[in-house]
Amino acid sequence: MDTQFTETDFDRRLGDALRQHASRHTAPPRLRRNIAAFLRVQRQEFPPERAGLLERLMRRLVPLGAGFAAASVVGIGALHYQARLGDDELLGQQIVSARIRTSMPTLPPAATDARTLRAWLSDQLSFSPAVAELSSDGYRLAAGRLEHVLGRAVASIQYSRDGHLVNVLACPLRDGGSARSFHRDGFNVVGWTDSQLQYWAVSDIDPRELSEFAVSFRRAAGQS
Amino acid sequence: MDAAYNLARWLCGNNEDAQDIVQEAYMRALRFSSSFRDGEPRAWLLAIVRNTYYTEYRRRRSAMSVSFDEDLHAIDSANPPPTMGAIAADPERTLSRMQDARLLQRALEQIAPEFREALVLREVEDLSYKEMASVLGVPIGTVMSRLSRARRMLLARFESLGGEREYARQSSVIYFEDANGGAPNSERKLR
Repeated sequence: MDTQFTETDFDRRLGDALRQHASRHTAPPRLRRNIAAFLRVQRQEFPPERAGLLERLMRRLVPLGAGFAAASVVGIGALHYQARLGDDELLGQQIVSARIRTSMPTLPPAATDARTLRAWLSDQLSFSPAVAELSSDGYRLAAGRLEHVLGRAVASIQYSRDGHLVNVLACPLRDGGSARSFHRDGFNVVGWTDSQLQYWAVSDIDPRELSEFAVSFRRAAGQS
Repeated sequence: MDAAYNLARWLCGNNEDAQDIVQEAYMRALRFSSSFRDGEPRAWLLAIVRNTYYTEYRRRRSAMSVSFDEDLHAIDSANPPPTMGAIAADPERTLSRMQDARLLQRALEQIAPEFREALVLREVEDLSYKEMASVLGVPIGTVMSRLSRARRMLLARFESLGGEREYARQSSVIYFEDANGGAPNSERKLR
């Protein structure tokens, strides 16, 4: 090793001055939130053989705390991250999602009873969503399929009544999830959770009817 | 994450770009997570932050590239670094003046990124030579020579800034209060 570069006393004192006076910038809360949300999405997608590595890295690289908690205010934590993406990026992501969705498996309507559909979804996914039998409420099971939302596979269960469709989307719960209900682009959304999964019912039927649907679904699925 | 942000912030000189760099670096880190074997995840992430900065951001800054390349060339040249005496005639006086935080900070901001990052990693983040070698992707000997050179660069910059300030004081010209800080190499926002 080249001895001409060993630290002198002057170097050490210069180092002290830098330690004392040069800023150590700390990551802003917004950045922490974004990265925590991003990693949460990734955790779902990671190949199992490398999941352990990701966990290890996350433990070391993401300080748990305010950032993690704050990122879960929206139903899927990733929505928070999404909200920070530029419009172009978001559109790009949606377009790719739409393309992937067309190649996701669908269960033909003819094969749909609640038990078959649930077994089929469980085979396709790493979780087992509830599928409620609601024909006594007038909702017929129409189809089951996998959706692609924010980079994740999501179960989709479709019911129909009087020409209106109600989709129930389900994916694993994260950070407490959310039971938010909202209205967007002509659709009403009612959200709820059970101990493991987050559910949303999405439909163009009116909010009151959709809430009743959600109550029926939860009751029939033994969730309430 | 603070170490990653601190490095990015010192490299690019502003908050917004630093956040973009760190976010991009985390994405890359996951994409290339198979390249992480064992060892220190912090050094691994810092190396990715650094690569993200150099590949994604610095190429936008062609205006700075000429002086930078000259500096970089000097890194690997066989010339010994300038001696202390050539820069600071009175090291004790210089050290005492280095307690001027604002001036020291400004001097560090103005030296070339390769030297700036070396000082930030060593003195602010407290990395070992070995960790630095892994982050910078160079042998330990090069880390040491680069640090040595970085210290001289910082001193030279500090001295010249100090001189400007002395002059400013004497002539009542306020160099450090205008929008650009009156510094010829002050960091520009990337976009």
